[in-house]
Amino acid sequence: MSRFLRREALRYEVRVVGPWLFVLPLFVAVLFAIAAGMMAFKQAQHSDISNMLMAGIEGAVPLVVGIACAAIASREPALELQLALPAQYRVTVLWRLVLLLAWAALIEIAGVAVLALAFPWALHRAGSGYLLTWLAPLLWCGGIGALLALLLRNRAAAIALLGVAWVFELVFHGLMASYGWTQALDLFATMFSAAASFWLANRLELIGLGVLFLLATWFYLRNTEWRLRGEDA
Amino acid sequence: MNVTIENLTKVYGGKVHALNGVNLTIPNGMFGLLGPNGAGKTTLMRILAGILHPTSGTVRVGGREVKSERDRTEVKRILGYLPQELGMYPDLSAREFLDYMAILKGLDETKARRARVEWLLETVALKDVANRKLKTYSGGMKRRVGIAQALLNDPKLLIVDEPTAGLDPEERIRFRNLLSELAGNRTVLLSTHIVEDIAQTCQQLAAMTSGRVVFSGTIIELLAQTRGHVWLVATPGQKPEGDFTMVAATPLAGGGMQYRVVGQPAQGMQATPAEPTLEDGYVWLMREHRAAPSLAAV
Amino acid sequence: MSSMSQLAVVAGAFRYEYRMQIRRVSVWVVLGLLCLLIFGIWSLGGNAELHGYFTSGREGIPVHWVPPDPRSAVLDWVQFLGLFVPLGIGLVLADRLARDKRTRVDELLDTAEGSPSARLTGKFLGSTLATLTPLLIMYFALVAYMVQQTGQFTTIVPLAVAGFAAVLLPAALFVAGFSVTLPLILRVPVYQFLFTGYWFWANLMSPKIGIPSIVGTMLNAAGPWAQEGIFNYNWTFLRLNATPAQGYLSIALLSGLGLAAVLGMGVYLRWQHARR
Repeated sequence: MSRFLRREALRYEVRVVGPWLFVLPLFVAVLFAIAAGMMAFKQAQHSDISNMLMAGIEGAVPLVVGIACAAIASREPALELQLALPAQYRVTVLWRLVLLLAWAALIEIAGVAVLALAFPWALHRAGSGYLLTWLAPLLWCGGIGALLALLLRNRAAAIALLGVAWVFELVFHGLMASYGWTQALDLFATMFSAAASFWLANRLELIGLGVLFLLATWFYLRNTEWRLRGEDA
Repeated sequence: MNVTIENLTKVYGGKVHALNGVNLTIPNGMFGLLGPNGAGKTTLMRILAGILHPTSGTVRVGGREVKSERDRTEVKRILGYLPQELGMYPDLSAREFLDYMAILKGLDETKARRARVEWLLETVALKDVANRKLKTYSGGMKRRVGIAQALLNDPKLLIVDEPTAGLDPEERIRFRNLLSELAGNRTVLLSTHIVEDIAQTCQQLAAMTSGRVVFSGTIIELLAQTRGHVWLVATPGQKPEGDFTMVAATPLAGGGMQYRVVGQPAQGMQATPAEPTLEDGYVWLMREHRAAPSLAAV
Repeated sequence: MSSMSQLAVVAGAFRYEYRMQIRRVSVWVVLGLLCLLIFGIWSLGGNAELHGYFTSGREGIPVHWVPPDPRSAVLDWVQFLGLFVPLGIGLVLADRLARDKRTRVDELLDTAEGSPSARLTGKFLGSTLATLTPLLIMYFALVAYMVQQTGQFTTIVPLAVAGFAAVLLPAALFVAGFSVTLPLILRVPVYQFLFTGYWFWANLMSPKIGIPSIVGTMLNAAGPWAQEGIFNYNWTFLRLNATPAQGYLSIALLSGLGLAAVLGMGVYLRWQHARR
């Protein structure tokens, strides 16, 4: 594992995965910050500006990370070479996912820190809520993106399911907050139900599910036969 | 280093029998594996490379049975593998690609690793273009990068699957020579359906069809088996009759045609026995073991 | 090249693309799960509309019996599908041409006879229809259930066919036009992210949120104009006071934009080939 921590190894992994996958969450975060800035310039209500920023932190960045994780888990141009190496391929993939998640976490932390210091009214929760607001959907989206891409052997289909689930939750956020079992899956609990009693449980459940999805991805990566069949035509 | 395979089977999805009880001993030096497309060669290679797990049977590398994941990892440490479909990272240069692969192969010491990469770039004659992105390389250049990556860890066992497919004649000759030089102190398993590649490089070979090994031995033994089944048949023009496979048809200077056939021409044909080549031997083997419907690799 | 042979190219590309797309397991899985999800939402209200129900008696309104309304049940089904299915179709189709590029099939096709526009049109129609096939099956499975429950074949089936043609088909053509072509100039995951955000922003974001959007314009592809204008049915969160003419116009606009995207990309590809 230590070989992955070397500077040149990190550089290669980023280049192999595609630097643009790492640029994407940053681009999205900046996009939402600009949109919020424009709303502020037009003297929109604080609540609307806050919604825009939360949509970026809790919604858009996790979605783009989920899409990127699906891409990482499903695409490997040198798959057969990787599988014949003494370094286990599933460790390599997991490391790439961790790199992306860590990078996205850095972006989220930086964004939330700026808001907490300069515009505290923009954040719906304080304290540990800063962390849980983005960590829960980030892990859930990242985990399910990677797992679906492996299960379906098709990146586009995996992202389709993730995208539909994301939009569905956004549209039916009231419904998601109404039932016990849907509360556990509510990706936007901070945006729409920040004061609800189930908020903390929801965050922890999402984190648990995200970790579970990543673990399942880890186990599923052992199935080299499935991987070698590639994407379906 | 000997590789011993006993009763190896591989069944995909419970239905497709890619390997049916393969028994084979691969000694040190160059060893050729011949067979038509779909014979199971790639599946066998992938099992030896630790990429696929066999359904049943045993593989021993250097006397040690490869059973667990740990065994497979140990084999991978002494393995160099060049797959048939060589995928690479298009945006890396050859130098970067080899350096990255070397890191993954456990060459941790930076200086030694870089020196190894440079030596291999020189060996495969790519040093001048080593900083160009791989996506700009020709097929032959990519193959050479492929063999360089396989040699990074100075492997005791080198497995190359269809390495000359798609190369021009000059590239093929260069590649064959390189493989022969490498075989001096290691086991090189060369899988191909190009008979000429085996004829020029290997003393020992095995032939596969329908997931079975139908011959294993030296080229001389295969030629001996074929002797008496190769004929030259001259006709005024029409195709000869009989139970055979036609290998070549050559127009004769004074008119008419000469056919080289493997099998049995019909009685009454003007047939004279001919000395078999490896290609004739291969054709004879395939005739004797008529291929079942294609069993494609994954 | 004659228009007849151009037509043959469109037909050939259509057949190939339809066969390729229809046998992708993932297409069936995605559309199947999508329909299941939407069926779940529909069953919360649509099933009651189909059979009739007693009101809850809340908010001071006395409990009363609401008679069965199969028409609303069908249009509810169309509405919920219209909210999400085009999104799923657009995302699934995003890798069709990009895949050809990755597997180098495009180079092979470039050497074949026929203009890029004709080939692109065939691919667009073939992949869209193939992706719609699982949807059609599941769509009419519920319609069959409604007919079986109510016995009102003449009310339900023509309405279901019209609903599909007026809402789901134009939306599918619209998203497919862009999803088949734009990934040729954008990376597939980037396109998919932008498309997901676009779909919510342009079609599903309630004006109450306070963020400017095109949700109330005729570019809304989720079907509010057709639902209101043609079927006189109140769409979920918009009141457009649409006329039938506006309903038909929205169908023409969405389908036309989808086709225009394909033809536009064809022109771009031709220009690109000429520069090579």
